[in-house]
Amino acid sequence: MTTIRNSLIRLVRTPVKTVLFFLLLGFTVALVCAGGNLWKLCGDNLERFETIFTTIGTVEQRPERVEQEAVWQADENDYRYYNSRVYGETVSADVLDFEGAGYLSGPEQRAYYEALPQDYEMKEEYEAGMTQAMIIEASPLEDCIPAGPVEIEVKRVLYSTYPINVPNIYLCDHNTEHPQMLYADKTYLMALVDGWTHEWKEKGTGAIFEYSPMNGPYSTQTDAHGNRLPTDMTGDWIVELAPGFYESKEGQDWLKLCEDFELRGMYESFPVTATQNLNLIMSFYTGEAYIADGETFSEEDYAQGNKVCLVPERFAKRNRLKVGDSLHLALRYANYAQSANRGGGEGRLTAEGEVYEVFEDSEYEIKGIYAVGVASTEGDWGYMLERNEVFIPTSSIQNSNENHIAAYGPMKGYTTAFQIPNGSESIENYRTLWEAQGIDNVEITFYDGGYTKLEGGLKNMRNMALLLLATGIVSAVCIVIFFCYLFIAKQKKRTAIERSLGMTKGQCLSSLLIGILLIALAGSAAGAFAGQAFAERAVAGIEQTETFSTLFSNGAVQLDRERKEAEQKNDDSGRETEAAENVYLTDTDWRMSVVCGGGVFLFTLMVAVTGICGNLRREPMELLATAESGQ
Amino acid sequence: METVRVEHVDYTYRTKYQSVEALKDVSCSFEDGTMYAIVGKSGSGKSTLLSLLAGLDLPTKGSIYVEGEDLKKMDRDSYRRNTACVVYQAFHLFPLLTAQENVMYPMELKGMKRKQAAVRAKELISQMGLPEKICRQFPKMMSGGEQQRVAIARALAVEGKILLADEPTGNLDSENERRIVEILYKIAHEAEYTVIVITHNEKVAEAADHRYQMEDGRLSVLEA
Ligand SMILES: Nc1ncnc2c1ncn2[C@@H]1O[C@H](COP(=O)(O)OP(=O)(O)OP(=O)(O)O)[C@@H](O)[C@H]1O
Ligand SMILES: [Mg+2]
Repeated sequence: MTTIRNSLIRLVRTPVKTVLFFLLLGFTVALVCAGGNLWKLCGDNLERFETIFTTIGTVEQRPERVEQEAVWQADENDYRYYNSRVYGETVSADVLDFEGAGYLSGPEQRAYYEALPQDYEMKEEYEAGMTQAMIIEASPLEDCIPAGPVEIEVKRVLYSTYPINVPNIYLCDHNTEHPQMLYADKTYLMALVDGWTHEWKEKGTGAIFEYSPMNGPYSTQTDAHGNRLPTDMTGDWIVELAPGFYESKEGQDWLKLCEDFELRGMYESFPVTATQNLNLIMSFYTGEAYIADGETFSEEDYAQGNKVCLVPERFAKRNRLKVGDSLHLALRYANYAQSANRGGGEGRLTAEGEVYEVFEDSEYEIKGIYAVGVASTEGDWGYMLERNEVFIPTSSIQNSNENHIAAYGPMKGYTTAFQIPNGSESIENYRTLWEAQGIDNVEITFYDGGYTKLEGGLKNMRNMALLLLATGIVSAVCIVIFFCYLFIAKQKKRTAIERSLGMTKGQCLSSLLIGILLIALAGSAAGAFAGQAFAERAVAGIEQTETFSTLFSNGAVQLDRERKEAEQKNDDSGRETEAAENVYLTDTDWRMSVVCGGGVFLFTLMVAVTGICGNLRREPMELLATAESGQ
Repeated sequence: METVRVEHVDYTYRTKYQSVEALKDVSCSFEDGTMYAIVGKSGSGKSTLLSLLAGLDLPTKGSIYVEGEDLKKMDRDSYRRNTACVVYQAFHLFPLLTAQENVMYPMELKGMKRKQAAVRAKELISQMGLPEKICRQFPKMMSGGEQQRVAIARALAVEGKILLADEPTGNLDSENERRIVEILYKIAHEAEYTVIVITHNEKVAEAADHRYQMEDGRLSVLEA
């Protein structure tokens, strides 16, 4: 008690030294603590962003040139021009397999598979009767050229999406400037689709609706390497009927086409996209499409080929399907040329003119139901999702599709992608290696969700933090040693007198230590608080909006969704705008502060004890003598 | 009764660069109820002997016995705390404590209550002929004579058995000198202390019962 009292008395009687030590120590501890906390926060944030963000590259073969394609428009009596990309030889996705690429998943040139609709409802109720396709036998009422609407008599219906209730319909060979002559005494087999009128402007809904040509039997089937298989089908929309036509190969082709239409109608496509990683699909990557119910695929699903699928929300609603229900998927053919949304250009028949058989027929469990929010994906609509598009892990398809490839084409950004590790280094490394491959007509575009920017900012900050930490530690060491010198070496006389009055070494030690440690404790604690508060403000102060205004802000969306889940809100609105708020972890770890403050405190203790013990080792006689001379 | 006996004591100061033989084969003995004076030229080794008697260090050679017990084997902390009361030539007051606190120090160290110690300290200080205001002053703000008397008061506060005083009147006027000599004499003869005083002052030396002379590290009895 006496010792403590006398120690405190002395502290109070040297206020400048005491306050200075307190302030300086507090300041350096604040530096150390701010540095330590910042350093840890940056590390934590980097680690967190590492798990949230993904970096993908999309691959697109550049067209050799872009040509203007002139398409005749009968209603406008003029050509309309479209840009059409002309590709050179198709580059295989195998070029992406090179040493050191370091893929986390992929590369994959994705196929979507056409599945039989079976009894699933593919259209909304209000869509009934909207598109009408038909394959009919018909004759014009009189000889004519169908450059404009001509009336034809329907003689036989081989296929029609909806029943045809009228004897005669109008035909116009809409996209041909000089159509061939049709004769009234002949019967033609033709494939037609509705959708045009010459009189829309004048008469509106009262106008005569015309049917125009649709592709007849044709095939775009390829072998496993993407080479077109030879076929004798031309895809002509019209053929003049002759006796015995249906027994001929050509007649058979037409009948098969009808069979295919019967199987799945006109636009009732049921595309099933197989992927190795949902993140490689832009809509999911950007967060435009997200899991609304259930879960996404797990690593195990991809690795083990579990028969699980994700279905779109509206499809699920329409068919009263829930997570956990079973979905029967009967896959018939693959299309590697396009995404499901741009698909449909493939021929419906095999090169031999057969209807594609189902090659993979199995039950899938619905693991998740996804919804598509406001489209943020600009550019090619190939990136968007088709309305009934179902997703499955590629490895869940067990049978080979090699005889069921209905189309193959150059890699597109929306069909070909891969994932590599996050970070600018990783991207740079890939770029360098890729450029060394010397393939200049394939373009790779990276998306990182803003990770590189964040990473850069955080790494800069982490370096600053280290600098702060180092400065803090160095100055803490200097200040502690200097003040311990002031408190101990300079107080040799005090120790000498204490010893000569018969204080034990232990008493002398505590007499000096108590004072130093009290200040050190107060200084360290105050400094630790201040440093921690500073670190929090520094992280919270990082400019966030700019970083996250990037188009592909999957990270932000993901973070936001995390937060939303935590809040248990089901509000879809304003996802994108609110996302930027809570991006960084800003909570400092009190343990870090304890370590920093405690570290400096312990160091002080160590230096002080060492110094005091050095004095105590000497006999009081010697101590008194040297204290007098101030050595 | 013999309280302190010094047997063939040598003491050598050793520094990094040289060593000084300050005491050479010193032997003597001191009894309680007696006042001793040690005189000698400056640098002859008086303070050195006193420091050894105070238990600040052990002789390089030879032994010091206190009530028959070798200092070497004793708990010297306890000896300094309880037995030896020392007035140093350079006073050795705590600079950051007031006069009163300085005097209280040894008492509190021995476990006396603070209040009691404060009262006793005041008494001791006024016994030294010091005004009461000195109690609250720091050593720096006192004259040499004042510091010296505070140091004596602190020595007396120990209430041991052996009083060692190194030039206790060196800075005092004749009236105060007389007062101190009186106190020392009383302590020896009434409180039965062994009092050993180092002095250059003849009057002080005369007041002592026995006198020793120190010459070049050697002690001899000074005949009257
Ligand atoms: N700390 C020390 N280190 C080295 N030598 C010392 C030390 N203290 C004293 N001496 C030496 O020891 C010798 C005796 O010194 P001491 O202080 O005992 O003399 P003194 O008789 O007390 O002199 P004074 O009358 O001046 O006080 C002197 O020669 C001195 O130089
Ligand atoms: Mg001396």
